[in-house]
Amino acid sequence: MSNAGLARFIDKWTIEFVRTYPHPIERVWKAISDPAEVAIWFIRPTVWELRSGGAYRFEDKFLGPIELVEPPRRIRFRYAPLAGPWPGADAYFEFELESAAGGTRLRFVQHATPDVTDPDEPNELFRAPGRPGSLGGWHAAFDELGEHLDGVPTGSRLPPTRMSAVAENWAGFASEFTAQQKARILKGLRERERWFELVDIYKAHVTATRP
Amino acid sequence: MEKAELARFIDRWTMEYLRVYPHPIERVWRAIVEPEEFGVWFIKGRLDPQIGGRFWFGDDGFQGVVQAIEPPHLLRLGDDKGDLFQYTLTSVAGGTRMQFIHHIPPKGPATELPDPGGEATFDFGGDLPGGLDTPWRPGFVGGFHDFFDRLADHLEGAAPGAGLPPTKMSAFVYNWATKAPGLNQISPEDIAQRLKVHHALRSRERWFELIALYRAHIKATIPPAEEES
Repeated sequence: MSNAGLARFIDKWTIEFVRTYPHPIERVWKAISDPAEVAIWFIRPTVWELRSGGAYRFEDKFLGPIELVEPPRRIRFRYAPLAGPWPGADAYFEFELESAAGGTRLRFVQHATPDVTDPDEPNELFRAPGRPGSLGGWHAAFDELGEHLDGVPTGSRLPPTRMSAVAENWAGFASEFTAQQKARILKGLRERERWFELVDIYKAHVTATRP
Repeated sequence: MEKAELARFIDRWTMEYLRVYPHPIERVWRAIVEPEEFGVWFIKGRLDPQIGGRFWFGDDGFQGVVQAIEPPHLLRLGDDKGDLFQYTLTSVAGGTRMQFIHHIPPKGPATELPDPGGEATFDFGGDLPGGLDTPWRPGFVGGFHDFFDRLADHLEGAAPGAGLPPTKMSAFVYNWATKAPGLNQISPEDIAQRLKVHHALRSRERWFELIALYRAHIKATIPPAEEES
């Protein structure tokens, strides 16, 4: 795969993803600001107060205040540390939308406070926002946002692999699971495999490109 | 169980599987004749353990009559299509020797069941590598091989398929089944369900492997057809 869709380091502590979706800005705005839509392509928000100073929380994953909301262009989130100083007072991530030729350009920026110890990442090279697992997660999320906007199921454009083919084959026979359970299992397996692949891609990419 | 020998042709219409299970003959006998036992490692079904009693395996018409039964040594089943399945158990040093014979009476030329083809689809082993005048399909013969491996696991008190060595794919599926990325969590119920998927996919991968092994084995070892006079 090309590096076109990969995150780029703006500086050592800041990364950006840039994607263009062939949909009007209002449509993309709804997809990134309506919690029911965010749940489809990213993680289910359990708290979502969409106003400057409101709170957000993605399941158990991360939470904090929403710093600013400027429809239909920008949402910036800050982090409430789950424990300890990480990821730091300056850390944020934001979505920025702009009408562009052929649709809407999404720019996602994630910034971590320089030199704050990341308790989960002893390797300095991979400290936030350079964690391969996290970058791979965002990368997959922006791919899934594209599928969601196009009206196809998230993950459905991932090409078949040997693993997914064996799983599909199994699902055709497995009478002890409902069709819905099987669909969820197949999607989860294929998405996990893609994430592993992205983690490897980002390990190499961060190693090669982090300033 | 990777080392279990492949089935052997007695003639063009008869195959023999031999195994030695490190368990007493009575234990192996029960695993073969009792529905709550064979339903675990073979196929769910019923069997009336007397001469003339009927048996059913699954719901696909795989059924017939008990032709001979001598506990704990001999069970011969004849299915309604004319196939013969015979278990012979013998006490040996270290356990029980099981001989399983599958005989399909000579019929007219069979038709290959070609797989749908293409890279994305699967090889169900519906072909006839021994020739169109023999009935041995790699998918079927490999499936029986797998059943007798599963019987070994079952006799050990393990889930059938638990004895298979990990593969790259099964290690991946195990990781998916038991670990959530980041701070996410998987409920114990989900883990239990996913572990079932893990075992099922590992078994299926093994079956595909056996299909390839038996395709080559059938082709290489089937006795030649005799010239008709």
